[in-house]
Amino acid sequence: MNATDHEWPRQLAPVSLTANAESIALYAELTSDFNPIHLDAEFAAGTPFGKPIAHGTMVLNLVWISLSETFPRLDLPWAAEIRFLKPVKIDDTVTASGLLSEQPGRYEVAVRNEAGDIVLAGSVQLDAAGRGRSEA
Amino acid sequence: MSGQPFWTFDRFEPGALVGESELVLDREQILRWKLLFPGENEAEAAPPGLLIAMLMKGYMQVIASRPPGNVHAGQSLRWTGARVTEGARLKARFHCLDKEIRKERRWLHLSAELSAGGTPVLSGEMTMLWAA
Repeated sequence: MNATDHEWPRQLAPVSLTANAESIALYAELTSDFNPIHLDAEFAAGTPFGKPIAHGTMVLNLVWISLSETFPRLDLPWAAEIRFLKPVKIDDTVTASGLLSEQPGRYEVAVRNEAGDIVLAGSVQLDAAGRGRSEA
Repeated sequence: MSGQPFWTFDRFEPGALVGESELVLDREQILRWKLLFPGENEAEAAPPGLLIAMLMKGYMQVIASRPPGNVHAGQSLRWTGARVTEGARLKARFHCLDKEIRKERRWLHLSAELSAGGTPVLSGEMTMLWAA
């Protein structure tokens, strides 16, 4: 099977997360990223963000969850290009989604906050044959 | 940390290895992940997001001393599909690909690789806005 043979769902399953203090603290423990911009409300108040913000790769994980919910037995290599566009502030709820592009197995993905702002965007190329992105 | 270089923008050399870090995907990390993302409980192998978190942990160890205010602006990633399970010994490796000053902002491009027992797991490029 190659990427052109597979029937690709038009949309990825939407997945949401509320970036509360507990989740941000857990992610800080996971990554050892204890930057006060993520954890210290008093520090963050003195920055342009005004509030603590979530780690970008924690928000990015929603994209992989969205993929695994859409493809429950996904075991394919993939390649992704992602831009972090806006910070996700503490207690914001964000939702990941994706739409199939014209290229087989390629999804344009985005994470949006409750106001509809895109906080993260990019694309993910799934390769059904496991031959790697360059051959997709 | 004593003995750790302070990673200012000037310190990075395009083409040079920045550093390597060894990590273990231990039970504590897995449990933290399950608390954070309960819906990903079922898989025996580490999901990509957890592997990316381990890569970021490696980054924090390699570039431990750095100016405050850096911004992670972009990321490319490639996952091989390799299955990584609890107890796996991982290696994170970072090179400086390029750096430039554009419109008075310091752009830094790093390559990042994560392997398990010598098997490639993740690779990619990190685009950073470096504060100083």
